[in-house]
Amino acid sequence: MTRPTNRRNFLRGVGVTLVLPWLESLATWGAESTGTKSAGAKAAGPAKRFACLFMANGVEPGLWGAQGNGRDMVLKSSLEPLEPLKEHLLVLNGLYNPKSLTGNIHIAAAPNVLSGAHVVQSTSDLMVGTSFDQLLAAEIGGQTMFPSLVLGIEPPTLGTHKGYSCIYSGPISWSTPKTPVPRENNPRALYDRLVGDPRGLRKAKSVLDLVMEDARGILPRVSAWDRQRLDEYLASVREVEQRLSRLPEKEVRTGPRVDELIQPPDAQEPPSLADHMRLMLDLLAIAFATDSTRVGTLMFNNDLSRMDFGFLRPGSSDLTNMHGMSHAGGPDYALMNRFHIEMYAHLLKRLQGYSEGETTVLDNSCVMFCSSLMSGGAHDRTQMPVLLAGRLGQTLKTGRTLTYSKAPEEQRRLCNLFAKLSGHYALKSHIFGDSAEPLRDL
Amino acid sequence: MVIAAAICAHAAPPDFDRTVQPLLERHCHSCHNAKVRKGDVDLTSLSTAAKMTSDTARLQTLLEVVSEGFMPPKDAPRPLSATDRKLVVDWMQDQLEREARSQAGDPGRVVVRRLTNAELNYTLTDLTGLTLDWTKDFPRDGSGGEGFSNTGQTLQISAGQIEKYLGLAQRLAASAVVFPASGPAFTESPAPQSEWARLALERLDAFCSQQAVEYVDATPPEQLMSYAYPVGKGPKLDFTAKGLRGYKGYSNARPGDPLQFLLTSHRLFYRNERLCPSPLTFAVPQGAIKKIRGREPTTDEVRQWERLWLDLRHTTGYARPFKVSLLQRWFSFQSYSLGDNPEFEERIKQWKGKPLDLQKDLSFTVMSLAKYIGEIRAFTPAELRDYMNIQNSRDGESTGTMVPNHDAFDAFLQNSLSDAQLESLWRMACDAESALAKRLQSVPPAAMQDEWRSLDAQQQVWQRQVRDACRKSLCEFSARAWRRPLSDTETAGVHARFDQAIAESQTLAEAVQSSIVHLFVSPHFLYRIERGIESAPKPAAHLRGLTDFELASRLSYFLWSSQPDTALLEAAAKGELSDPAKRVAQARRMLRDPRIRRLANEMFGQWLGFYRFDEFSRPDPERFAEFDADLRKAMHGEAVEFCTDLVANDRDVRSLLNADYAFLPTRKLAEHYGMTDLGETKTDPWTTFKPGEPAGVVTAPRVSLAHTPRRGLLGWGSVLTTTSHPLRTSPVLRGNWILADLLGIPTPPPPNAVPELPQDEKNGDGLTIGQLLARHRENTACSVCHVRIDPLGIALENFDPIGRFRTRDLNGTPINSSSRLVDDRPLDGIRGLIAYLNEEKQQQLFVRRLCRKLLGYSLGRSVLPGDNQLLAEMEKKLQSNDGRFSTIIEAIVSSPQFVFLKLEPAAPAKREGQP
Repeated sequence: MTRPTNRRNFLRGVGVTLVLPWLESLATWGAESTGTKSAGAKAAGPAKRFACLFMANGVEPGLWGAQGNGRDMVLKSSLEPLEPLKEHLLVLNGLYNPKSLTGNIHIAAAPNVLSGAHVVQSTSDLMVGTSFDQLLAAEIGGQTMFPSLVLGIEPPTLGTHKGYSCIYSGPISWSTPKTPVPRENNPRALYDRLVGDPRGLRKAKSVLDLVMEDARGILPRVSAWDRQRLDEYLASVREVEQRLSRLPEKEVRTGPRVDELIQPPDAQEPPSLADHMRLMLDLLAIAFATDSTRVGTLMFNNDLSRMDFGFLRPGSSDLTNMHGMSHAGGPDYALMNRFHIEMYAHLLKRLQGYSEGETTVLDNSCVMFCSSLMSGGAHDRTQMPVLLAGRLGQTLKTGRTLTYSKAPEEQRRLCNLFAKLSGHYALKSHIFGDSAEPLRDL
Repeated sequence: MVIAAAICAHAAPPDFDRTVQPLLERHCHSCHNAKVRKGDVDLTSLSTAAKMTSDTARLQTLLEVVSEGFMPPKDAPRPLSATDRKLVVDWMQDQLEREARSQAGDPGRVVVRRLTNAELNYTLTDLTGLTLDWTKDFPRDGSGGEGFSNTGQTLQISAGQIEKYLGLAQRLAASAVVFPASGPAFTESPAPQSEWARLALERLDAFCSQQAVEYVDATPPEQLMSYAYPVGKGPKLDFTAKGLRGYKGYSNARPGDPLQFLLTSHRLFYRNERLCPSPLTFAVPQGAIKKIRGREPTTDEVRQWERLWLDLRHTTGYARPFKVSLLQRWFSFQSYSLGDNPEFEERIKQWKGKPLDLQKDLSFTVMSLAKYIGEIRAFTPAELRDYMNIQNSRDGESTGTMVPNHDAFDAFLQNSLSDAQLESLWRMACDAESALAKRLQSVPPAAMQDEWRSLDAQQQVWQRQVRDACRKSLCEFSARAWRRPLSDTETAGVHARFDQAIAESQTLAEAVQSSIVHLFVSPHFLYRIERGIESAPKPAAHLRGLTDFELASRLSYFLWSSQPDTALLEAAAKGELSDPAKRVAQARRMLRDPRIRRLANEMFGQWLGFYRFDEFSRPDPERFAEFDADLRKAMHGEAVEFCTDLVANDRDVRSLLNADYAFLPTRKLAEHYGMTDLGETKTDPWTTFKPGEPAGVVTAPRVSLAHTPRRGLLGWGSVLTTTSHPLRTSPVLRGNWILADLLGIPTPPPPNAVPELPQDEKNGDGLTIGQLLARHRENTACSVCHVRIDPLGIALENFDPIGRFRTRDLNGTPINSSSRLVDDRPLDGIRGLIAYLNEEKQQQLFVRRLCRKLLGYSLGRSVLPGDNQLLAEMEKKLQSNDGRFSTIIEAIVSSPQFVFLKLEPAAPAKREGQP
């Protein structure tokens, strides 16, 4: 297959060290290369990205949120690290995820933050809903090397919890209602994936054909239950194959590559939690800047996480068990919230550091931050902490606080937000999950 | 407990609509309605018997909660009288009983299971013989079912994982040494092809020395020598008794033993770690084994020898060593005429210690030849220096004596020249018109040229043999990797792809390596696919018997987390595994194999929480600096060793609760536990330790706990640490763990807005954790569960957050480990707790829990009502069998659940999209 310089290669160069003038004519190339008429093709301009960062166990509600707009926006203490970024910020108060109320007070509110679906209580037959990021990945991900990056910090929790498999405490990204996407937690493994081994992959082409043949040979002779598992296998192989077909025949150098923007991390995860998180966020930013992907999620902690934040206040012990502390709430817990917001600000600043023509990668992204509960102590699921940052290529008016608390129920649904964003990303459908309408005022 | 009791109750069960429903309405609905949904439970929606029983797992939970007295809570506005409670419990039990009876032995829904990362690791270890963490950077598996990562339904796969599998397969292929006849062998990092011949030789060598092979002495030693040395040029060897010892390199040879002679003599050609296989190695004719350990060799042994033989032939380039030998012989004969070069000798005289310009001085003996070879291929100075074999005097000055180094020259011909270069060298030598022949003033005699031609013919035969062997061994290896024989279509596919690769001018090695990549990414390898066979006898139409090979994998993945071994595959091939007695015999054999540690680690580890404990890092590193990597590892080992011993030595399963011994991998751990007196023996058990019976399975010394308060698993460091917070113990975590994980009594979720205890014992406002908990229990919403949880945890307060025995807490307050059980009996310390847990009821609950866990683990699914009968049987058999662990395993591998596959229901239950 031969193809002209596609946009992926072009964009790859756009980074801190090198700023290329934005060429409108390039905007459609990426779409041509995959043969689909999609969002990127219609809307001329830099690619639109979506990221979601998830913090488990809720916030300290008293110290969370903001008031006012523009320069007058006042951030409460947990959000203070966003002060220099507030013109890029949208603080959404009072949204809620109705289905989070239809199951376990904790674990049934987390895996569905990006789908708004009911979490089926089961230790085996997991089912939530396809998450918004994976829907995006399926529709716009085809234009980049990776449809999406699904990242995490903690390994999955083993075991079961109150009749739910602990897998539910893991990924917020689900590629189908039944398939959680495994998270990449190791910075080095992520780096290696991003830098890639196109030669190895190209050699694998014939292998992929063979294994698909194997799987298809098995399909007609097994039960419907088995078929579901094997379909998942086939779909995964197909995705790799598609990625492979997007590999350029030859390296086309137009700018810095991933390996020129960052040193290969150590194979071991960094011993410090903060370093680990920052490194993962750096790599996510680079993946966006090099247009390796346009969709990413990162979970700072698993639901019910007992992550140890004792380092936030050395000498004190109160921060050593995140979930435990979430029940107590208060200023100590807010300190943990604030730490996560610092990480959020870190990512935003990184994205701001990569120019794209007159704009920055942040300007062309929508970076969401959320948690599953409004307060850990009361397991309050009647509202959800949600922040957005980035203008998403002039489609979002940032620097505002939007409050929906008093709006009618159907206007407060979390999925309304995704419905609204679906329009901005020019997805096929502008309805999502249990959305009643696109979110107002956004 | 309750179900067993109910079997005896024959009275007519109460009616739901008239008796049970009104009671539920009266006592439960005020909290558990659609609006309040306390504890996530809405009973108003379950208004009919049918609705109530639609989900047996839920009904089971309800039964446990009501029968255990959790619900309704003590402070409920309308307490449930004992009579009424019995009515509700009886009805629920009866319903569950019916359900269980109607489904008894139902295999349930066991889906194709992807190998877990752990299983993949173990499988590759057993397949390649290399112990590596192959899945280090793979996404970790979650878990489901009975809480195990091997639950089929929760073993998802994604594109990212496919890439990892692909990368792993490519890595494996690259590190595969391709032995055409005996199949691929794996090295930790890719071995260069030049090393393969050495590996092949070592394998042959190992086979010969292990088996004490004797050969037909077909070739007279003098003739063997002639392959290595020009006539009259070799060392003078006396092939009788002492002669061999006289020559260095022969020192290991036993006099008069032709094999030893051969094996030792080929070692002569290891020089500077480089190998030059000598034709000597090949001088023993194929199939010429005379005796093995003094007896006639078996067909298998002959076949293995022939395979190793063919492998060596291939890796050394077929006739190549012989051709090299021919060339070498010819040129050595001629070396004197080549050496006749006055100009060069003049330069040597002037040289005396000055660096020699090797490129200019190509003109002495072998060097003269090198000049002609130089027309074919350029030399490196190092190569030249080797062949020159300049013999320096002690002070580093050249003595001017230059002796052609035949061995090094031979090595050069063998290792550095391509086949084509060798051929053209020979052509030059035979072509009277070539510069080389003119210089030598002769060509090889006709006999030598004939020999060369016959080698060519021989080579073609060998090549064909090797290629056929390769296709065959590739199929054998595929069958091994896929854990079953290949179908005819699959065999044809392997052949076709191999032939195609060869046709596309890939080398044999490349062709095999690309096949290997496919093998390891294929669903046949990554998944355990069970299709069963229709013809097998079966108890019901919707069932299908598993094939023998599928049973082999069920056994091996259950007990070893890995592929079946040769014995299992052989039994499967003979159709023995469908015979329950033989299946049990295999399981018994497997329980005593060292691989059984994996059951200890995977099953017991995931259940009892010590899985990956060697990576556990919750305790605060500053407060508990003692909790270092060594200690973690030792605590992990302690648990693994105990369970391994339990399983391999078929002990009473109740010893988990009451054993007065432990397996302590290190002295440090014993000291950590405060054990200064190590029991009966005065000698240090760690220095005198020898792995006991069964051989090599248990790898730590057994130490008596008689003089300590520790008993059973509650004394394990891993258990005490995983159930603590970073800076304090947690009687709640410990108590809940005992209640829920050991005894299987579910506790409802905590109510909203629960005040949290301080995270550090030192910050407890002067109150002990026990006192704080007592305050907590004053809250009635909390007390429902905590009156049951806390006493069990408080009893363990004498153990600190990293499992040390203590009498004072971190505030310095004396420990009070006594409290009252929910039935108001006093419970004091670990001794009291151990006694309590070893009461009949608790023991029974624990044993049931273990059986349930093992069954769920063995099948990779949740335990279903249809399993109750089997579980009850296991418990019964355990009672009459001193609680021996193997009882459970035998019951499982003999059960219909283990040997049958359930076909999909006619109308698959559509539960998708359920709100």
